[in-house]
Amino acid sequence: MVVRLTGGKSFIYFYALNLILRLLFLFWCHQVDNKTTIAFIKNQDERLVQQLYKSLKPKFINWLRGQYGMKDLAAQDEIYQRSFTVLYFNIKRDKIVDLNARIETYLFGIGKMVVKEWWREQSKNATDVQNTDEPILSEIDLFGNVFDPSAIDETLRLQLIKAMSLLGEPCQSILRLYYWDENSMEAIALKTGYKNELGAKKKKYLCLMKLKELMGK
Amino acid sequence: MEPTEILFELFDGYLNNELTSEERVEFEDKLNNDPAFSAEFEDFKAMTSGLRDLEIRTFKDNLTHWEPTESENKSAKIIRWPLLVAVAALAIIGFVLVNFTTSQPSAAELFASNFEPYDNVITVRGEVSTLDKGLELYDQKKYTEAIEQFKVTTSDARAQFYLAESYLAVNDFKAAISGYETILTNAELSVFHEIATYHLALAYLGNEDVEGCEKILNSIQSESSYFESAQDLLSDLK
Repeated sequence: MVVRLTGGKSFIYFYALNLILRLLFLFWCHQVDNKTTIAFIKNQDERLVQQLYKSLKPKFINWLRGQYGMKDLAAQDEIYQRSFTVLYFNIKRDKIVDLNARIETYLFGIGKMVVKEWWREQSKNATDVQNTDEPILSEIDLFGNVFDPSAIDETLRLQLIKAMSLLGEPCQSILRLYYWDENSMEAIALKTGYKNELGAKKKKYLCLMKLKELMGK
Repeated sequence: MEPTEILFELFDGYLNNELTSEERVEFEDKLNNDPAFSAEFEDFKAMTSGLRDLEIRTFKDNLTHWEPTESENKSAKIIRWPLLVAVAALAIIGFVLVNFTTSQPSAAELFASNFEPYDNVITVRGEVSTLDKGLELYDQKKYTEAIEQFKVTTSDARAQFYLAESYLAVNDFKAAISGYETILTNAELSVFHEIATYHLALAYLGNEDVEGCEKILNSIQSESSYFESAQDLLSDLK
């Protein structure tokens, strides 16, 4: 009887220890799995990127409220969306290959730059922003490459939006696959049903000419 | 200067850093000395930079549709530490109970929890062909009807992949296995090889051939997008 009880207790202790280790492992995975996050974005797995967007938002908004006292919901959303967009494109366009810090730390670093820009846009002096410590990561200065209002002329932007909407298929897809998703011409040929790379190249040229024409150039 | 296909290809090559150092020097020399060439290049650069910028704006605009729903927001707001502790305690109890009382999930259960038909990544455009009809039915999850459509279009290599996916979706595992094995020998379908390998393993699992499934899962290399899924499934099978 005594032996049985001792054996049972040992088993429970062993099981509890196993459980704690598993929980610690899960916690560790949740905290440091930057590689997976980067892979989601590189693979453009929309479902998973969407999950990431939703999961990071509550903490980011709390941080905005706590750090900057920002209570306006529309402003919170706009700043979060801009910050997440910068994060997404810095990864997608290989400006970040690996991260030493946690993904949310990096996102908050981007957020600081976005808030400064936001205040500037709201015609306030940038010094109004409190607690503007220098960003923790040097990569954050990549922010300027994503949302640079001076990079693209506004008239050209509007012409392009209109021209792209009039362009139709398959041109829209071919240009997106090449300039957005950085597919090779071989991959584009396969995805769009062209017999070979040459056929797809020819079509891409004709699409660019059509786009130019629609832009009135 | 009349823009030609070769000229546009050269511009893309320069902007994508794909030119050799000699070609680059020659290109920059022409930029500095040929005003027509330079003007054409500036036009092209503005247009393609604008296209890339449009991607960013489109992505950001789409984020509005990703906002958490009201119920997701509410649940996020009301979480407090005591509740978290209670939930964690329940989760631990549940975990212990599940581990003590339940048996290993069956092959059919594991198949059902791991299989999701691959998205239609073929952009449908232009004239309606039989492949488009099949993909439309596939998107509507009418897999049995999609199978009939894909069967008549197997000359289009891509139809073979969606045919195998449809077979797997209706649990016709033998037909799916045969389909995926054919796909994996077809270099024309190399873009589908990673997903086809993982789904071939699932088809074996659905067919209750656990050994066959494990063999395929073990062959999935760490470079594959499905490596982690394969490893998870392997540990579930143990």
